[in-house]
Amino acid sequence: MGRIKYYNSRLKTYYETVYVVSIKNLKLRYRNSMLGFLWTLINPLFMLAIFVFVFKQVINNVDNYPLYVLSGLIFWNFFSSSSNQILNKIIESGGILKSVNIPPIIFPLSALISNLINFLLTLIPFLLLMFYFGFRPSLVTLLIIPALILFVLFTFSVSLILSCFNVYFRDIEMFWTTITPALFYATPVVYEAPKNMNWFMVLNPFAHFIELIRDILYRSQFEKYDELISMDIPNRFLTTLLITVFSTTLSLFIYSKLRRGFISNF
Amino acid sequence: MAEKEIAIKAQGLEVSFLIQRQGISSIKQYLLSFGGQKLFEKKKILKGVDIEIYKGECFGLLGKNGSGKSTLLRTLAGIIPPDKGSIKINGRIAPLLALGAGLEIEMSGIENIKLCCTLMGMTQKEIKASMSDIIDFSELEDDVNMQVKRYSSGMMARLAFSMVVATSPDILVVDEALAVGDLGFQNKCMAKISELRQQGTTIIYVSHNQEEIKRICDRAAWLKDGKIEKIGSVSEVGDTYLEQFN
Repeated sequence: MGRIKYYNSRLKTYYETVYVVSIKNLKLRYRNSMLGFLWTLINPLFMLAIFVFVFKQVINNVDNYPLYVLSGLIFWNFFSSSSNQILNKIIESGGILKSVNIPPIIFPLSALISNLINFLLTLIPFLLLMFYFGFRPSLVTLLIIPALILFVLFTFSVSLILSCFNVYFRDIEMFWTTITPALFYATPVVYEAPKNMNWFMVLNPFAHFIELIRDILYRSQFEKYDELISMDIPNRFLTTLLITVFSTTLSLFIYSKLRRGFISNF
Repeated sequence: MAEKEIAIKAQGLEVSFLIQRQGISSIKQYLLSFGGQKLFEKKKILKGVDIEIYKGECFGLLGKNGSGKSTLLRTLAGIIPPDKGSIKINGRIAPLLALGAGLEIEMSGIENIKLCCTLMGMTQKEIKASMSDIIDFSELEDDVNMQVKRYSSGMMARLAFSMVVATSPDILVVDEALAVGDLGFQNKCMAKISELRQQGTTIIYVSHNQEEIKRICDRAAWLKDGKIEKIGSVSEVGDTYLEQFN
């Protein structure tokens, strides 16, 4: 058996590692479950049903309420399921990180990628459903791609911070499970944000992302194009871009500060 | 013997762990002291370790549980950054043979080989090339298609050892984990270890069983409370190590 040369490029190996671990996550996710991938659809559909049937009694000033809820809900769902999974990834991988010299960030990153792939797959049936509710795609719809990139980066940075602190204090997990529903109601996902957002919503970064997505997928259907394109959407892109840059920098800073102590806390 | 080439050289290694102070009272104290009191305390594990391991030798590491053996190995492997001291490594250290680390029990043996070997730094091409060698060496045959959760601990050890050997490291770390396999496999591992040694691989053998270390190692070190108590030929170190129990 000839000796094989290793480490032709460390970076290439890391890239492959992320790929292999992401695929593993996807494979494992629905193993031993009968409905498998369908669960990713069932969960938001069920929530949609609740809001359409229950909240419609209370909220009746929103045009096409099902479309309104759906366009926010699928993105919120991506955020909440990703963050709740990524949260545990560094701790879960403690055994590996104790025996192999690889950067811990590989595990949260792989979880994000497998969640993203899962999310993109669910987007197909959801877009069909939105079409059924009256959504008609146009050129503006394409803006969802940069918006999604920002949203994914933001989701990752929040999750990375949580998963780093979770190594030190396992309370983070409980804290986040408790806080997620609160955040959901503090963000205008199922109700319409007031025209002038109150201080809480201005400070709530999620609100800006959801509003951006709303502008692209929902308001573009009803409102006058010019104002939306020239004012609202660029403004929201700027806000979310700043939030994303800030949160990403912060998360990488926290990660680099805290990773030294990971191993003594596994 | 000609001039010895150095595989590992560490000087003045100091490593400490952050230990969380447990209990609600400590958080209360922390808050009451407005952050003046620390939530974590540092616990020193290695207190200045100097060690030199030569290329191609089999080096034994003796020490009681909790003496810092694993911490020393992890520091040498670059997994734990030292607080103080320097490490020079000549070659590539194999992943530590922590039993079952990284094995995903819901997946089959083959899937695990792909996953773990990737984590250990092999490329997909290399994994493909050494797949049949790994399966052959582990003697798991058709069981590689079975979920790892249905494996016995011995079978897991076989799988783990076969994978580590497949990375063909310059420095191989063998932990006591080996003892889990049955006698046949243990002998096979020993044969493989001596084969690797002849090819120039450095072996670090960790154990608290001095008999075993005497059998296979040339030199040894005794680690006591985070310090090297004695380093030298295996018989010397082994004898001094035994004396403490008498």
